[in-house]
Amino acid sequence: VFSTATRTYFDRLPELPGLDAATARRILSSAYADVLAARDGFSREAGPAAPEVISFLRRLTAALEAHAVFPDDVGAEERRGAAFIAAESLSLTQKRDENGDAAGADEAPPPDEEDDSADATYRLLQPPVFEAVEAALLYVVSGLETNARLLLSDIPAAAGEVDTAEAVAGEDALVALTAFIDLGLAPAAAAQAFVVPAGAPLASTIRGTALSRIAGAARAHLRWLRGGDEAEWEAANAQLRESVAILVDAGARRYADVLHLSRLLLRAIEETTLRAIRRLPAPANDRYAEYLAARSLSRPLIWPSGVDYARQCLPGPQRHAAVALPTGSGKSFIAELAVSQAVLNGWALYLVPTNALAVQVRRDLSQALSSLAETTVRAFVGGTEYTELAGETIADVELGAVIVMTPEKCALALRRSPEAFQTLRLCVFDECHLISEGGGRGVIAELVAAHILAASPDVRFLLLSAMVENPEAATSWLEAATGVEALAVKTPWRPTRTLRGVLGFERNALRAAYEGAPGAFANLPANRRNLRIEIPYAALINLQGAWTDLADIEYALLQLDFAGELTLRRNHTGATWNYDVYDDGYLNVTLADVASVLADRGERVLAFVPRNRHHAFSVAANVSGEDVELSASADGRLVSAYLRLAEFEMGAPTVLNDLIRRGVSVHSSALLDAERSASELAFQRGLARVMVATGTLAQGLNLPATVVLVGGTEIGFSATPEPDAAARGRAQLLNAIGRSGRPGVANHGLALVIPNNAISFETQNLNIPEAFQRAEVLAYEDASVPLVSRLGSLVTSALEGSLVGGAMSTDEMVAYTYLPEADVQDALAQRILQRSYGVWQARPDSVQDAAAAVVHALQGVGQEFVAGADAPRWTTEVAYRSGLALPDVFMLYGAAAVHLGEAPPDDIEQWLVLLITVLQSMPLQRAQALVFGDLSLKGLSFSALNDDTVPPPDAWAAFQETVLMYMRGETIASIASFATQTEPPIDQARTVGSKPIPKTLSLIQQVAYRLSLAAGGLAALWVEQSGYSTPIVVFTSRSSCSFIAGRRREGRPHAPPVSARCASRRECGYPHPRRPGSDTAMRPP
Amino acid sequence: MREAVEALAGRLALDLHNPCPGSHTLIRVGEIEAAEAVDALGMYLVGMIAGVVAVDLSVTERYLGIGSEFRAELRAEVERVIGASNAITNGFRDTRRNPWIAECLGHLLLMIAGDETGLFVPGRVWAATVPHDKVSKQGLDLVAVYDDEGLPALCIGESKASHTHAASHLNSAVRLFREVDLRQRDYEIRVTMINSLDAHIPADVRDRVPAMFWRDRRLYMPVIGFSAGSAFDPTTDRPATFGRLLVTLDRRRCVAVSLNDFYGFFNRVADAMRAAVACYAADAAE
Repeated sequence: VFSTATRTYFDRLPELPGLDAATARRILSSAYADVLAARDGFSREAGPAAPEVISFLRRLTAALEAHAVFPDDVGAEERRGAAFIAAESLSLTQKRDENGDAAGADEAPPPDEEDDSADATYRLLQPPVFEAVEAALLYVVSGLETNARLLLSDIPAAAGEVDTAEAVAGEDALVALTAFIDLGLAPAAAAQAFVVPAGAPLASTIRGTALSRIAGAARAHLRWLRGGDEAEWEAANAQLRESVAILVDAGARRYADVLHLSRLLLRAIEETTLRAIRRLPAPANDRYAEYLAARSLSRPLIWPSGVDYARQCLPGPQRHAAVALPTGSGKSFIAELAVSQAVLNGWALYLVPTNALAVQVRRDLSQALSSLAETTVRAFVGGTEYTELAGETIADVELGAVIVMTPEKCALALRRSPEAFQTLRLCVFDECHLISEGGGRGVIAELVAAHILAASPDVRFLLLSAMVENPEAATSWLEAATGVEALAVKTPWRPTRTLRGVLGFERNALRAAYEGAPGAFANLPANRRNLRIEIPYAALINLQGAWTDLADIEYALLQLDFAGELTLRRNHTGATWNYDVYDDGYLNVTLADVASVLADRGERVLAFVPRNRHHAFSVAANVSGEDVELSASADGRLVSAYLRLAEFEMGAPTVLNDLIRRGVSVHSSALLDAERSASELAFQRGLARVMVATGTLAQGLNLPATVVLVGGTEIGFSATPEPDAAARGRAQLLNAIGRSGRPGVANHGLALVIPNNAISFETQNLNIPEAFQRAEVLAYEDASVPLVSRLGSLVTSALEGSLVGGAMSTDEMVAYTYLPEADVQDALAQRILQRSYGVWQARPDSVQDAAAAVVHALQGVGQEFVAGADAPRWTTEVAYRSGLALPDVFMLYGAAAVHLGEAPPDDIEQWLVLLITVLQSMPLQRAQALVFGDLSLKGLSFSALNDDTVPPPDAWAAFQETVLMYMRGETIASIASFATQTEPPIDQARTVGSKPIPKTLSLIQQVAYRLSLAAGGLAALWVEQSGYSTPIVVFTSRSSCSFIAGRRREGRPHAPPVSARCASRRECGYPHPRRPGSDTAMRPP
Repeated sequence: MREAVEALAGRLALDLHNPCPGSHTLIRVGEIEAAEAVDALGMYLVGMIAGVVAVDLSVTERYLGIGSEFRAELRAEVERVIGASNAITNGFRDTRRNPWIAECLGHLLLMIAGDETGLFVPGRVWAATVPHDKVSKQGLDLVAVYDDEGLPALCIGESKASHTHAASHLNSAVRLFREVDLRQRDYEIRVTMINSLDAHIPADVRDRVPAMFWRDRRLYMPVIGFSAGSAFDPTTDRPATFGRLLVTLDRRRCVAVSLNDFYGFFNRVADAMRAAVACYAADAAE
């Protein structure tokens, strides 16, 4: 259940009799399992007995409050930890009796005894309410106010008017405390003034006064957190402190309860004061003050995970930082604070790994910074191909702007508008572990970062990642590269806890089925071999967190009250029948089955299908959801609108329509953008209670669930997996597991791995080693990968003199392409390299010399490579512009050379024809690699393009026509019909990749990206070789088209072309379908 | 107050009676209807109220900056709990005044015997809560922490007074103890301990005892005031009632106060209290 961060809380527990940290963790986890079991109808076997759990946790609460929360001589971290554990202990045992059962109802009092329950005139006097508030305040003291809110939701509404001044004050205190704990995000009733009634008993006056001071302090603090008056806040705090002192001095045992609440509130005020965003270091700036005032209304506190960054790097930011925090633990808010200050005297760049994330960041940041005057957030999410579109340039970036883009897009911007980076003040690099990715992306990301360091004298970096295990390395690099201090934040803090387990079957039932097999088959025909049997599910759960210890004591078994199906099979040897149980096809069926039941019981389930993106659809189809009336809510209507857009683009009903309307969404790469938007929104807003997702969910999207089911531990499928595939696969699974738990909705999440092959458990034999072997991923806390430079081998080879032009790897080739000769001449290449992570890692003490040596070596082998390529040297410039690998550019040049002197084609279709013609004249394998990658064309009318032999011309023609149909905006169904030679109506199923729709979507995704790059390369060749006198329009993808207008230039080097933007059909003659949700960002004014 | 306690200690007949091996230990309180005992009881109860009033007055003054006259407050408080005279409604008598006196009786008995005899609790009482200001207020009547062979233990008392329904009231008290067993009163005891009683346990003891020590060591003390003429017999074995409690027999100490003149006794105590107000007011004035 517990992350490393929360484990440290246990390690810091004070030494108290009977209190052992490991036992405390284990028992708290058991209590959580019991709560979960009660919630979902399971029962817990093994692990500590319920009475032991209850007894221990109650003691824990008392001990920690007395010895670590209230005393003044306890350190802040220790107090937070103690408060956290006390809050967990208290909230998990609330309303439960000695045996862990729900507390029973009261019996009737004797006839001449007044029913004292009728005397509880305000809710705070009721034990469940008091304890809920107490636990909530403890959560606030621990820094987990998001967890606190959930406890308040169970407090019953006031029964009606109260009849005494004390009761009025009691109700008012509850309302004020609730508003404070909820951070005033929910409406709170107005304050009730406490008036001492004439003739009231002293005790009632005292309690009323104490309660009114609680209410006053809670309200004043909330107002203060939200920007309110400092003097009023100080006065109310002073009153509360005085109240505590008075009650303590008086030793008034009758007021222990109000004293208790007062002391807890004081602690909660202290804690939240430290984290109030109004108290964070801030620049003296009116715009910022205005933003802060507005922001403190919606987000008055920073989470503990962000405090170090704020205190040490702000204002400014004045330092670099590398922040490693789990998903959903506050990275975005840290970035927002940094951006909000950086844009006051410059602009900010926000690098993200995908366009989808760029759209989300733009949307979220725009909203968050809406009160920051003169600030605009723009996302550049077009393709990564070479383009001169005005809307895709940052040349005129204004101060105060926030630009969100991928590193590849930024590489283009750095090439085209280096001067704009002079005023860059902050570079947020989200998911910065991208630097370690192979296939060229990591190298580009790293060089972009180094390039920014070289081009932006005042920039500060904020590296963010949920996976990086060595942020210290990144900060050392940044310090060395800039001479500016850098802070590493590595806090595995997260606001939720996750119970991790392996789902299997109950072994006793399995054994019984096996033993009863002869009887079960007895009346069946002799040729009947298989029988489906129902076996109840069981889950093995760990009671500490990550599965690091395999001792029985650390585990418990959850018996689920529903069953799955396996196959009982018989075979005979001679006259003897042999029986066995098989798990044929059990994985996806089990995933759908368990997801259905848990969703039906109110859980928000993320069912993760890591192996195959098409399985997401087959699993989703088997989830039995409930009908959702989309027209009943604004969110539903928006989902409905997305689905209509998807149908418009699809030209047929989308399978998502049926799924979402019964509460099931899908997240897969085999989706249209509109379908993905509909799916995400439906799940985020609870319209869909199940989301079946593939690895596309891995990158940063905010879609938390209460239960995560991982259907198998095999990631993707590749005949030639990359060397670090295992670590990346693990990271993907851990990312999914980390999504369980929703702050404020479910403080505790459940993550169950369903192994690829079925496993069984019994109480007497927990089968831990086997379960561990099937789901080793559970041994890891959080995804952790070292931040490693992909330039490393290049640097080493270059320094050792072993770099060989003909044998350059993809990463090395990309590096060479990124650092063109022109950059070498004006020393930019060296300035970039000496600031790169890779060079620093290789030669931290002599980066300048090392960078010079690498540049020299790189240029040597590069030139050698170019010289051997039978291509002019300026083609390296084309590679630089287009982002294509140098061999591809050489090949493209070789094929296009005969056309470069000709007049450019008249229209966009002719450009495509030319591009196809050029591709056709390339060596087949190179053309295949350039356009199709490892995409299988099986089942498509141009499948011959996948063959080893020269394809017939009509294959290229069919491919060309398919692309033209896409460019013309024809529906996916029409394109699928043509490309797969299938008569309409087209089968809409996406459960298998070979079906027309998924096949066509794969083709489009792959080709649109790759053909765009090739098209950009062709355009760049044209620009470099011959200049141009008429507009060049090269269609690249459906949502954008490159449009270059200019005049023929005289000689080289050329003047930059005049750029225009292709804004409408009038310019290029082609429709521009709008992409829902991202269109505004894509087309800045 | 000290004089009153001493007088009562000398006058009351306390008798440990253990005829009920299947259910509880019985302590019978005799001679409480004697005139000296009634006067002393009145003095003690007002003294207790006076202590509470003095604390409350000081708190109120610090809170609100307003002072009140002690004598007037004491009188008002006494009259609030027992009435200005004995001309009160039966409802007030049966559900407010008499139970409050009974509740205080439990407190008194603990003061009398706790140190000396081990009769009510086995060891020295370190601290105890004071009775409720309002008898019907939710909460435990009496929570006391005592020395149980060097370790802290908790005595939880619940007092009842009923002319004819004593058995029902005993059930009611046991039901409350059952709530303690079932942890439904944990919060109340925990909050009281943390904010008040803990401080009275010797530090060296407190630091080596696990939190919520009362889960291991506690004693229940029902105090039942009843009419001697009623059918209630405290010596009856009551396994169905007491047997449900999760403490051993010697930790179920039922205090039986049999009253020959049930209503007369409470009236006389109330009168004695009203008379005692003047003494305390005079002391305070001095």
